[in-house]
Amino acid sequence: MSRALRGLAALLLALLAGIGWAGAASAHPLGNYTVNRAVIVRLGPTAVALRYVVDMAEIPAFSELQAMDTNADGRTDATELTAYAAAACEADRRGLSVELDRTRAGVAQWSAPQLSFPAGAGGLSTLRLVCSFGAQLPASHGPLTIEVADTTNDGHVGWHEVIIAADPGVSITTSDVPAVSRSAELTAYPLDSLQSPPQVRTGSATFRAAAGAAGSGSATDPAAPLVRSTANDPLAALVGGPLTPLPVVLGILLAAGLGAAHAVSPGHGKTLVAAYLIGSQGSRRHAATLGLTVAVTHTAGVFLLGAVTLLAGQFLVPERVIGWLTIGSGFLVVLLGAGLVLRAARGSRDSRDHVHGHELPHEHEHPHEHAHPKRELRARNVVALGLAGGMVPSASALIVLLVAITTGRLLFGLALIVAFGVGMSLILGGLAVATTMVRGAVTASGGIASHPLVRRAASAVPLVAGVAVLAAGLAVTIGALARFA
Amino acid sequence: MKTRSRTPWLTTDGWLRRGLILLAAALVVAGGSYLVAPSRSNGGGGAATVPGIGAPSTPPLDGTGGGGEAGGLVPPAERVAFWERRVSAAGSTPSYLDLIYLADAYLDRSRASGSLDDLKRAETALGRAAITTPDPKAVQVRQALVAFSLHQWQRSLQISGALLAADPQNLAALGVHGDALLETGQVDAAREEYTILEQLVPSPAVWSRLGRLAFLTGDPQTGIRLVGEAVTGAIDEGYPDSIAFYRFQLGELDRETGQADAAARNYEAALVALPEYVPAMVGLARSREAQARRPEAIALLEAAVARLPMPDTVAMLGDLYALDGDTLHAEREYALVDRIGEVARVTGSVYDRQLTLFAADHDRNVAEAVTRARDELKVRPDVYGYDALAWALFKQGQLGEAAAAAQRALSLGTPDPRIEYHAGMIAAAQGRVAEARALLKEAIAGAAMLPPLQVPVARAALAALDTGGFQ
Repeated sequence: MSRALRGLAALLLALLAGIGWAGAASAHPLGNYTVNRAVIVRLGPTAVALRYVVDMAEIPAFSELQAMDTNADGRTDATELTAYAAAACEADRRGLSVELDRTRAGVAQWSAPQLSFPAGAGGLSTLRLVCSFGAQLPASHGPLTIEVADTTNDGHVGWHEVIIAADPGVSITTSDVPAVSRSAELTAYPLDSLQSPPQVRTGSATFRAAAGAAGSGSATDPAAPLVRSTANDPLAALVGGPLTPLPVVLGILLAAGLGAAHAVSPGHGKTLVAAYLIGSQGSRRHAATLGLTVAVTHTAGVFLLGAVTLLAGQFLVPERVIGWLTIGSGFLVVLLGAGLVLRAARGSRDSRDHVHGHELPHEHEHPHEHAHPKRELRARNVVALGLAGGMVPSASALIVLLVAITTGRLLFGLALIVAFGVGMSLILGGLAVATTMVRGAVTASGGIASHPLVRRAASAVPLVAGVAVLAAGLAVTIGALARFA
Repeated sequence: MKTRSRTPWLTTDGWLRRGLILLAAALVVAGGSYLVAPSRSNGGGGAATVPGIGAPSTPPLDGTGGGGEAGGLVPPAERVAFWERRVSAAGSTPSYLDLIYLADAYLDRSRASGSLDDLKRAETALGRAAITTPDPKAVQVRQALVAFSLHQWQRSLQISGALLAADPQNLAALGVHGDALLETGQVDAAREEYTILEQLVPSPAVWSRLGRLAFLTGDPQTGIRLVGEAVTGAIDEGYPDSIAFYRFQLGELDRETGQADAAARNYEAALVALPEYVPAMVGLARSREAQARRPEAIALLEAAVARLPMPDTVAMLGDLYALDGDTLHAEREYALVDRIGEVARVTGSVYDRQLTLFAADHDRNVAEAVTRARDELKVRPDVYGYDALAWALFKQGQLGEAAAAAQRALSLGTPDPRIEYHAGMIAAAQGRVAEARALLKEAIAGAAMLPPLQVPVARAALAALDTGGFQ
């Protein structure tokens, strides 16, 4: 048996551990114990109607039937049933949150609850409760946003869905939930056995009363949310999709765009790049080097982690590797930050000694650079910064690689990851160039920099930037260590 | 080299310049604040579907350092959602690998929730993967596991046995085949396969198995040590599901050896790693009752019953109500156990040892319990099968046959307080005083394993034996 195969088998063995035994130790799980809930919202011109449907399978239904029997005479009479339904709907009403344009709306009971006991397995009773609630809309309103949330969570497993549909005369512009119940309001559950019951407990929609705009059903096409959910990770969806020239080109462009978006998403070091270059007199050439390093490091990092995940899964868990990489990246940033601070401190001492006073950090095109060579930004520091920025692989890119491998589209996946890295580096590099330009502008003679206040303030910039880099590096390192500890 | 004077568009427009300076400063500040919150920095967009990325770590419930153990993979439910989306997006032609990953995710989720539905979904996914897979073994070994989890012992043995015949070193097949051997009472054969496994791949999965075997064969200390090693190994590997399972297993061994406090700590750690892990909720509830913390025990059992109404969990909840003097609610829980039995009979998928023990404990439908125990013993003749039969026969008054079954239950020296309690009561009824006294003492030492209402019965029996007043 090869090493890799043995690794996979060991992984599988670890998976096997406990599954059967949990069954053995805790004996057999039983079906028929779900409690299913649906909130069905109908948007009208003047009010919102909410039907709250609960469907309990045989076992919880039996518990409820026992609980209904408040006088404990072994049977449930009409009074007990009515009291139970009223109390249950009241509890559900309190668990229901309805907001109109982010303001909590009052939800009232509109009509009497309907309680029934459809026969389930072996003629044993199930329980179905339908509560009818409603909320008034403002007298005259433009487009409104409604947000519905079912906060009832009693631990029972089951089907949870929220439906938002519109009456004639009302049109829905956007909605994040279907307009038609997939379970026919908890009466007929779909039989696709490879779909777990939905766990949707919130829904929101924007709508407006629009006389004559009836029948705009396309906005609430029930299929739309499904499409969105499969595209949850756009890159991964691309790799899995059909492979014709147009999608390939679009895919590569999209990957680059996502890489760019990734670079501007929080926490990906571009602020570090800016701070570092502000504090360290980097040139545009440095900026370009930086962008390239990030792209190469990131691409290599994803490939390596993908390979590690596939071949050494039993020794190394990807998230653990990412954790170590994050620590390494943070540590590198700490070193760079510390270097900046040291250099800034020395720099300010220099400026007191030199009569011609270079208070402002700037590039070294003038003849004094021999006096303080420490201030020169070394290429290896830029490369280190690029490493720090690119060494933690993006989750999105890693998914792409794994999906590409499982669907046998390795080359396309690789191309997408490279494009992703290029997009990322363009943004980081561009940001670096912008930073050098800004700094250039500040130091320009005759510009704002000639104002004495600005000069004094600007002399502190290298130090502040250095401290910022150091603090950020410490935060990353400590955060990553804390998650390990 | 660029000089400052070569950017005239910047030097001529003071407002633009000031704006850019402010922007750069804002970026520095904003960047710092993002990085201070590293958990946010990882979770951009749809990336949450990647195992472990941005998964929040849960604070430990106690001082066991469970918080660190909880880091790692995303919860099984999210893994299921990810692979379900992949399979569903592929329409009628999902990749066999996606189907296998989906089956694994279902199996993981069923381990936490005890959901039978997830086992059936896993079976379906594997059935579809079997059509296109170039590697039938990967599918078959999982089918053997699903069969095992559904208590289809013979099917499980048959599938895994065939895989082993083709490749005696098929690790996963060895694991599931050994487990099925153990559950069907073939202890020596199981030990042989576990030993091979340990030589091939010494790992937490094997130590955990050997630990259970050691306990079953009368060596609880070795069991605790081995399962403890499995816990340590699992923490190194970083899979929260495995950590939770081994912690749970260790908690069970602690409880069986009378260490309620240690058991509680292990169950708590299991729940930190996997918060919705129902068996650990039940174990913690039992420990809490042993620690005289009944309100917590009741709250935990109610949460567990809502998630997965297993007969012994519901029965224990009833017992605790009864001990609190709330006979109305106790009776309701007992009636619910009966209903669970009815549903199980109707749906035809479940036979249950727990129902036998519940019926015998509470003297309900004892004749039916005896029949059920005899039927189950035919397919699963392990020590617990003989134990259940012995207890039901005892309640039916068939002492001779009960004693023979109890003897079989004790034959491996399994130090389980439940077996000792049942055997002790039978010995006492037969007038074997010394043996009964020894067994009941052992059982009371591990009282946390006994159904709460049986503890006073065991104590009273022991006291009666001590004063010579039994019967």
